[in-house]
Amino acid sequence: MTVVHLEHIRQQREGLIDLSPCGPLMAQAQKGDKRAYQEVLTQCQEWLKRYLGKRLSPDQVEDVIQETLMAVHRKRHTYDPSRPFAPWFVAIARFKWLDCLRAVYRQEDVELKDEHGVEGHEERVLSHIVLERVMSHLPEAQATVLKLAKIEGRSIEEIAQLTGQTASLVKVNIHRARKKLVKTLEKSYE
Amino acid sequence: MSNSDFISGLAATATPVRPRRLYADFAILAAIAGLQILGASLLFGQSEAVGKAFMMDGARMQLKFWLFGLSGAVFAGLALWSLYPGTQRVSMITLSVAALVLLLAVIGFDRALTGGVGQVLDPGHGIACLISVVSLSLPVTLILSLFMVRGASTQPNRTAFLVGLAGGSWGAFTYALQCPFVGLWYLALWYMGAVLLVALAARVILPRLASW
Repeated sequence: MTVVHLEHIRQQREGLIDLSPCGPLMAQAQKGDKRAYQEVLTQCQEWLKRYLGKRLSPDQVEDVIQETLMAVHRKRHTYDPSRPFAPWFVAIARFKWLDCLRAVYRQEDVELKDEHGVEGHEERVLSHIVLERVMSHLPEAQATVLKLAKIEGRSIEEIAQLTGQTASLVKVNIHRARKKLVKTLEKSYE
Repeated sequence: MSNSDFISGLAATATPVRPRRLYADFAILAAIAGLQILGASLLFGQSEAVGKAFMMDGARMQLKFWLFGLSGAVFAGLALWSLYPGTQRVSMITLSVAALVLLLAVIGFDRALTGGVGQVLDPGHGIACLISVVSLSLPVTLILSLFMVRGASTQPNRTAFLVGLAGGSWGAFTYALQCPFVGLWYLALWYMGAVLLVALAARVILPRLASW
């Protein structure tokens, strides 16, 4: 009951759509009602637009919406109609969002090993509001290099000169900062 | 493809599905675990050494059965529960159960090191015990793994670890029916070592198999 209540408060605070009518519709959808299912997915899509819009850059949002809806489709048998719909769906949406972050970071870590410079596109991956909130959880050295590399778009050499760290240490700090960032996000939603 | 086309496409292909029920999954698992116990009893018969150990130290033998049997059941229940997206407090409950098991083990089992460490740990029997527990953990671990692959865990690492803990504990329970040892250090090293081995293996392997 507390979980549902907290989820409701969070949704209201973020101006998200109330998903509670989706529960009975999803139960119908599990029986093969295509119209009910279309309605559920449309509501979910609207909810996702707002939820992901605050967490991801605009060019990432559409892809993650479709991936999340696909996940809902594949795992729709795991929804228990006797329980509320919102916690089930929100958990999937959050999982897909974090999955997207992990995938982008993995790819960028490979690029980081090969190249001397890194593009300043952290904000393309993670929205500014979320980024600022989680940066405060990082150790200062890691937060500084991440900010310089990914928000200001400076090269590894430039960061090394500015911070007095070696280039390898800068790379290590960026990698560690991102790992911690994803862990912080995971924990903050548990 | 626009989102509305995408949604129409998904809705058009929606066929009826049977909703997942926690109690149904647990019932299937319990049936398989029960069959495993029955099979092991028929295969190995009643151990004479276990009969003697019961006569000499019945309370500790019972504690051993209950501890591993209940741990297996509780961890399996938690693993299945964690497959439901949005499940919370799984870690806290897991840690509480593990702490309780450790506490009961420390209080209940024989802590004496009579005859020296080598004799108490008895590596000859211990290694056989470890291999047996790991082998006997396979049926429950595999069934739970199938549930995990089919399920929708939003905390795959945690679910995988719980699957291993459940399988390992059930393997330990099954083997305990044939094993007369009730020394704390022996059980901690070989039984709990085997349970942790299975849990770590599951933690490493299973998240890669869980598809979204």
